[in-house]
Amino acid sequence: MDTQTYPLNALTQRPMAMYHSWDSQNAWLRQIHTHNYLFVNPRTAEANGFGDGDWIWIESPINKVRCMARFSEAVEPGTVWTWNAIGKAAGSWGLSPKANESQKGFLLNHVISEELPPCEAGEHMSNSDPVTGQAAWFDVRVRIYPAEAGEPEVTSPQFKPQKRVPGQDPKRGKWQAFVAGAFRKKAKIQE
Amino acid sequence: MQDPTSRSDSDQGRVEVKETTCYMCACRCGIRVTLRDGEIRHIEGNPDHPLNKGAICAKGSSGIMKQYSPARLTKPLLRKQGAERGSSEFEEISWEHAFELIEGRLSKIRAEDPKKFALFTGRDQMQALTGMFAKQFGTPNYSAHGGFCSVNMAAGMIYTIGGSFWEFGGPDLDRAKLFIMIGTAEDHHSNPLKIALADFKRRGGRFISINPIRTGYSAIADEWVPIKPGTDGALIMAITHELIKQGLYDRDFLIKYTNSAELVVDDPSRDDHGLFRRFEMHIEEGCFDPENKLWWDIDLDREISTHTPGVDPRLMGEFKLEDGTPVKPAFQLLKDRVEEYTPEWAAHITGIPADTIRRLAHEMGVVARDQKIELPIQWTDTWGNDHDSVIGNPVAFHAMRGLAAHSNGFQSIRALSILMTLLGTIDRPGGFRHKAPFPRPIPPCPKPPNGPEAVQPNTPLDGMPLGWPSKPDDLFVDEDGEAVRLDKAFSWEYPLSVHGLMHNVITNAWRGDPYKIDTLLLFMANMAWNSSMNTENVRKMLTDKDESGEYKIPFLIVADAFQSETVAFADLVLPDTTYLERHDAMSMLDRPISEFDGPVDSVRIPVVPPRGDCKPFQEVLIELGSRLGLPAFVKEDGSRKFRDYPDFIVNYETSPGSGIGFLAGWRGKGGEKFLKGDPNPRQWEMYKENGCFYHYELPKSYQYMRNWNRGYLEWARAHSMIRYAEPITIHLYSEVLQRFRLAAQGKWPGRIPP
Repeated sequence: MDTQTYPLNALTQRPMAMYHSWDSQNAWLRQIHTHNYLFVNPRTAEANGFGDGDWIWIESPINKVRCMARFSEAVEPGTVWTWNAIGKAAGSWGLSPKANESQKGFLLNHVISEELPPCEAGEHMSNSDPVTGQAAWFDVRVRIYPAEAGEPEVTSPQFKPQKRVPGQDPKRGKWQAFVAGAFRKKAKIQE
Repeated sequence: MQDPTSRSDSDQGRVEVKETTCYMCACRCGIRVTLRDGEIRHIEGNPDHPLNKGAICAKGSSGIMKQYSPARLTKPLLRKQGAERGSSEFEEISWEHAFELIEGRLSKIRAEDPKKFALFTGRDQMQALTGMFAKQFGTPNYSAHGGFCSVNMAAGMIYTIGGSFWEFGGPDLDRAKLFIMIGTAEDHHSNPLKIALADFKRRGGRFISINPIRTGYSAIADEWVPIKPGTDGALIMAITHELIKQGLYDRDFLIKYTNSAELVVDDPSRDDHGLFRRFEMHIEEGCFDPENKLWWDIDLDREISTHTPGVDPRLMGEFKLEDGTPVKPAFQLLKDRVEEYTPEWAAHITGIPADTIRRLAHEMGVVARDQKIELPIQWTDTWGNDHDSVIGNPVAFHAMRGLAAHSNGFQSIRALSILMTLLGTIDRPGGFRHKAPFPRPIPPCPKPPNGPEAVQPNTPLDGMPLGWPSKPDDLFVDEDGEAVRLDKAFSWEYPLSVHGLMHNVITNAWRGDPYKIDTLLLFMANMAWNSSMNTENVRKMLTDKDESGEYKIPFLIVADAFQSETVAFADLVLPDTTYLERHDAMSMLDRPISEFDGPVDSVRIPVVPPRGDCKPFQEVLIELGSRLGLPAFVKEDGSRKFRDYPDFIVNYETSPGSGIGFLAGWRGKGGEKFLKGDPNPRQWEMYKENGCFYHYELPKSYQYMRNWNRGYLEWARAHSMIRYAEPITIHLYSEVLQRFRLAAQGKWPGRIPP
């Protein structure tokens, strides 16, 4: 692994409000978060030339993902991280194809390979612990850099929106679309 | 909106409160669900439940919105003829049509080559049933999600101390003085751990979090020690170096309860190099680690049988046996190994200053040594010695995926288990404590099959799809040393892959390496999104076709309650129910919710009927097992044995008349027996009357030191948790791993790698 080109470790954690992919469908839990950020130590962000809330790329030897950065001092400078499985494919989980989950949320899995590059041990060795076969998610190395001016402010990669299937509710009920603050304007509450 | 101060929900309509078990994460807290006129209105924690004691989290209380989720699947769906896979073009079909399709396909596969059917499941809590279905079908290609989750935590600890964190054991925060959490975020057990941590801090306990990120539980840590990812092993080795250098280890514990003083052959030119020197004795069938080993007696200055009364053995040194064989105590090998792993060495790797590492080691060692707990609990060890009390060294640890999800995770976690052992904290108050059915022998007895002949047409698999290899000969490989399983578990590449490698299933099936399959059945596993690595390409593999225009993975069945990303790629979709609509058993045969003081299992009982045409996946398996004539699901005449899943849970026994089944509570014809007894036709009702859980509190004298507690071990054997009651000596030194090393060097008398 070329740790000069890919100097950072990238991790995922499970958020308190959602369990893996299960809860982006949940109207109450969506009020807590609908998308994730890549958390970056401000020193690391500064060294890579971007600011808090900027669109950036996170790239590993196999793929790259466009996402939003968020500063955090609660991470050591050699590590970047995000919440697992909050980003969704457009149209899945009963969400609108324009929902934050697919437009601002992202999945780190795209940059993590399931196999190692061909090596003396074999052409297709699993990216796993050689004793137990445990998936080595947290071994991935990445680099991060700002998105260019003019790039769409949407996560990448994007996939063709998934259609609803027969038997599913035709759309999300209005009562399930409530977001805290949605009625502030109507109630004439000033920011 | 009604005024809540003057009116109540209960004024309008019929209000009921039903108890069941949460499934908004995998912790399995007890919940109470309030319904009005049959509709769910409110969910709260069950204060009488041993796991969460009434606590509920944001997820648990939001279960109502999962019930009414617009992502719910309600109909069996078949990919439209001519529609491309992945296009989400489906037509509704009946369950009868769906069953006919599956039955036709699977009966043909089973008659020809059962391994062409693969069943892989995600976060399911019925692995005893899904695994049994796979075995009965005859396919080796089964696992749950453990391989891509935290198998290293299970394997690294179970291969060292005979138990592991989470449902099989954990930190005794009620009595610990110092708690070190490594690589844990918002992991299991969530609510119970939060409750325990709050009490621990109120009592003045000190909480240190070692993690590259400070989130989750670490928010209330007294000290955060940032560490570079994947370097935990180096930190633990350096702490071990310091503990040994300072003499801050529990010598008495190491001698009596671990293999530290046992003599290992130390001559690289010999074929038995690195193995324990064993003498001839009668060995109970299946016992892997019998007590036929040697100590070096300090007084006599010669070898002597381990645990000889009155003998004080050497932990360090090198010796020559009477026959001239050079040997070292296992502890000396550890000391040699960590000699070079100084705090300065680890500082460079981990990013933690050497002084901090020394301070951590010192703090652990001194708290363990100087703040001992003594509980007035009498117990008898497996060698017949009576003890008046139980001693505890109050340093507790917890760790999870931060250690596990690295390619060095197994060894890092073994190092952590060794550190916990050096401090003398295993199944003692204030340290690590086991939960039934653990501790188990190291390694546990069930083995995978060890050759391709275990897979035969129309025949159950000869062995369990998943097990615990103890030597190269237990690997599941063919004559050429190639994997028999699709995911290559139990091969020379991944020998101790005790939970399988689900993350390689789609790639291997797509490539046809080691072979092509026909049908892949995925249950609540989101393999087209967050449960796969390399997701963008895995999605392409699912739709990739061969030269003849056929999909490379010919038939994909997805069973799920929700419209996940994976559903779009299914050929056939089976709508599962939510957790509030079905029966479930969190079984002692599987992953129960036991407490430190004894076994606990629990159930789910439907609080509302299934929506639309949803059907619990358990019912799908019972139906398919019956239709396919799998032996465990049919009577001798081939007719259906179990009416449905609840009937199966009540009446299934591990072997005819064993009295051991999925649920341990209220067994016996009238519900008068526990843990073991005849099937009880009213068992579900009795669980319902008792909060949906069964808790058996062990006698106090069986609650500690269980690896070596004669009473406990005999009790556990009598209740089929272990097969024999030999002491479960801690593997400070792993002879299992050495056997594989010898095979790699061509020195093992059995199987060697190609």
